[in-house]
Parts: sequence; structure tokens; C-alpha cells
Amino acid sequence: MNYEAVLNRVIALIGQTLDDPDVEITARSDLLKELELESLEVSEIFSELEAEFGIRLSDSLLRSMVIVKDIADAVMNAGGR
Amino acid sequence: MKPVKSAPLVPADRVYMGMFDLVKGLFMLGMVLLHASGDYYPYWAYDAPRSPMGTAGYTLLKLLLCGMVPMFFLICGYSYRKKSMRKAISSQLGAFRKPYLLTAAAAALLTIGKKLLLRGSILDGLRYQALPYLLGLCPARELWGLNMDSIGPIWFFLAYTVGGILLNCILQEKQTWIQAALAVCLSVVGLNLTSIPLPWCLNQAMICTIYLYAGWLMKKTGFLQREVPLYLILPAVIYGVLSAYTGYFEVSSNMWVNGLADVFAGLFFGTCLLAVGLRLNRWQGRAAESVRRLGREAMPFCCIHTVCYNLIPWDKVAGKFSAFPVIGVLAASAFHLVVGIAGCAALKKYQLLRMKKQKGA
Repeated sequence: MNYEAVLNRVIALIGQTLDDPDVEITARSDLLKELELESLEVSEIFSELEAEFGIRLSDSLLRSMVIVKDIADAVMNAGGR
Repeated sequence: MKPVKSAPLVPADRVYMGMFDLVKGLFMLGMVLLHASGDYYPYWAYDAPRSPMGTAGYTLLKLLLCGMVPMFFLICGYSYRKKSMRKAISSQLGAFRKPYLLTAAAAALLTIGKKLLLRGSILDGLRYQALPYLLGLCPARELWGLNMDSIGPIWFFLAYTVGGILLNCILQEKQTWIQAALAVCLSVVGLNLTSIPLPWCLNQAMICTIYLYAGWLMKKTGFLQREVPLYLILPAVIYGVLSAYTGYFEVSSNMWVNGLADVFAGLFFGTCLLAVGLRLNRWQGRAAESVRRLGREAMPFCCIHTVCYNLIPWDKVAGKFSAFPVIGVLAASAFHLVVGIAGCAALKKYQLLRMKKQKGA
């Protein structure tokens, strides 16, 4: 699995969730303070990634998600296909 | 770019992803317990004669009830994202449309089925469930000479849907003091319209926009980044107790005996409950994780609970358990929880399967 591709997919999913072209999403964007995402929204992004990469992302990981890159890291650590 | 090691499990920052999940989960448990106990201990019968012991328990219940709903609105306001008006309307309505329609359809169809089984009239079923959902009616009211039921616990999300749009209107204004003044004005207008049965929980939405705005301000000012000091909590609790004891305020019943003073009491008491609830985040383990999951799935849980709550004649069930009220409350709570949690798990499984199917296709 290519890290860059995972990161781009995560950014695309966050973009879909926010549905606001004015918001710039980068790997370093803060999920809570800048993007104002809710835990439910990130949990839904987890579900999408689980279905896409055949991995299991526990909701207990939510607490450690601070920036966009953390989600991509979690996918890589879960060893997606 | 290479992946880095994950951050520690318990973040050092006070504000982190999912920090409200536990509080929301506890709120769901509290809601179930209150609904299950209503037929045994009528906390809502605010003018009922009570024993001194009963008064103490009743005041505690009343306080929880007074603070819980404002607290949930504060959380919703905190998570609110400012948008253009067009986007705000479409996103608020879009997020709520499906759950509301499904809940309404399930409640109406099951009620009609129940009426048919009991040889009642279909019209009664429509009047009790379909019409109230069409009008978004809460609490139960008499309209056009018809006694109509309330839409039940889902009223909260309906009020939030409308309140979110109102909040977005307020946020179009740049100056904080004008935003605050508009929120207070909206509350005052809502309070003055409580005797008029407005559809779509408009009364509650107007009154509670102040809570949503306060939640939004908490985020902007970083209020939750620091511990709420005791000198702020104590007067707020005293004010809340006095306001709840001297009158009665409860958002779902749309009852505000002391008017705007009660709205502020709800704000203070909700903030205190939130501050206390956030301190509970130190609680870890499987049980805490289950409560957090319940909090994340508050909306589907509430929809399922609404159908259960409206469909089953709990007053008749309570009649069978009247000699053992504690057992009755526990059994009803357990039933609500099992059905709600099983329903949420089934829904999540279905969504995951559908996603996998779409990815496969």
C-alpha cells in the first residue's frame, strides 16, 4: 500500500465530509481545531477506509487523531492491503 | 512521506477528538433511565404532592433533566461549523431527513399495525403517530379538537436541525455582542410563543439557539481548554438549584416558569454538567468504551428509542410492575438499551456491507 495514495484518499474523504471548497486540507491540518470535524465524522471516515483497504480501525484510536496525517498513519499501521 | 508512530492513547491536550463521546453516552443512559422511570416516578408531574424524601429525589431528577438537554445543545453548538446560509440549510436538513422519515414511518406503521391487532381504528393510529410527525409536534397537544401524541425523544434532533439553521443566521453577523444579543432576542421571542403550538419544534429551537451559540462561543474562546474553576461552578449550581426549585423548566415540555431566568439557569447548569462530564474522561476500559460508542451513535440510538418509547404502552407495563417499581424501571431500561444497541450494531453492519459492496462494484 502506497502511503501517498492513502493520505490523498484520506484528504479526499475529509473533503467529501466537509463539502466546503474554501477549506484547505493538508496532511498537517488539525482535525478538530482547523477542520472542526466531529468524532462521528472521523468514525465514518474510518468505516470508509476499512471497507476500502480491508483493515480494522478501532474507534479507541479516535482520541489519538490530531492531524490529517494521523489517520493515514493509522491505516498504514493497521496494514491495509 | 513516511508514516510516523501514533500519538499516545490519552492525549495531553484537554480538547481532543471524541472528548464529548462519554458525556453523550451518559446522556443517552440518563435519557433511557428517565423515560423508563416516568411511569413509576412521575418526575414530570411538577405539581404532584410529594413526601419530603420524594421531594429530595424529585429535585435531583428535575435538576438533571433541567441541565441535561441544555448540555447536549452546548455540545452540538461546540461541534457546529459555520457555513453559507444555503449550505447550512441543505446540510442540516440533509443530515436529519433520512433518520426522521425512517423513524416517522416505522412509528406510524407499527402504531397502525398495533391498532389493527387490537381492533382499533387506523385513523386513530394516523392521528396519534403520523400527524404529529408531519407537524413535528412536541410535547403532545390538542389541535383542531384532536388529541395528538408527541413525536417522542427524536424532538431533540428536530430542534437541533432548526436551531442549527438559526445559529448559522446569527453567525453571519461579525460582531460577537450582536451575535449574543440576537441569540438572547431569539430566546425571548421563543419564550413568548410557548402557548402557541408551533410546528417543527420551533419553540424549542428558538429558545435553545442560545445554548448552541454558547457552545459555539466555548470553542471560539477555548473555554474548555482550561479547567472550569470552582468559583464559577458553585454560583451556577446554586442558581440552577434555586431556579429549578422555585419553578420548573424543561425543554422538551417547553415549560419555562421563570422565563428567561430559567433559560440562563439551564445554560449555567448545562455548563456545570459538561465540565463535570468532561472530568469523567479519565475513565478508561471496556465499559467506558461502550458508553463512548453509545455517545457517538446518539442519533440512531435516539431514533430506535423513539420507536420503542412510542410504540409500547409503557403505562400498562408499569401497571403490572406497580408493586416492584425499581425492578420495573430496571427492566424497562434494560429493554430500551438492548433494543437500541442491537439496532445500532445492525445498522453499522449494514452500512459497512453496503460500502464494501460499492467498493467491490
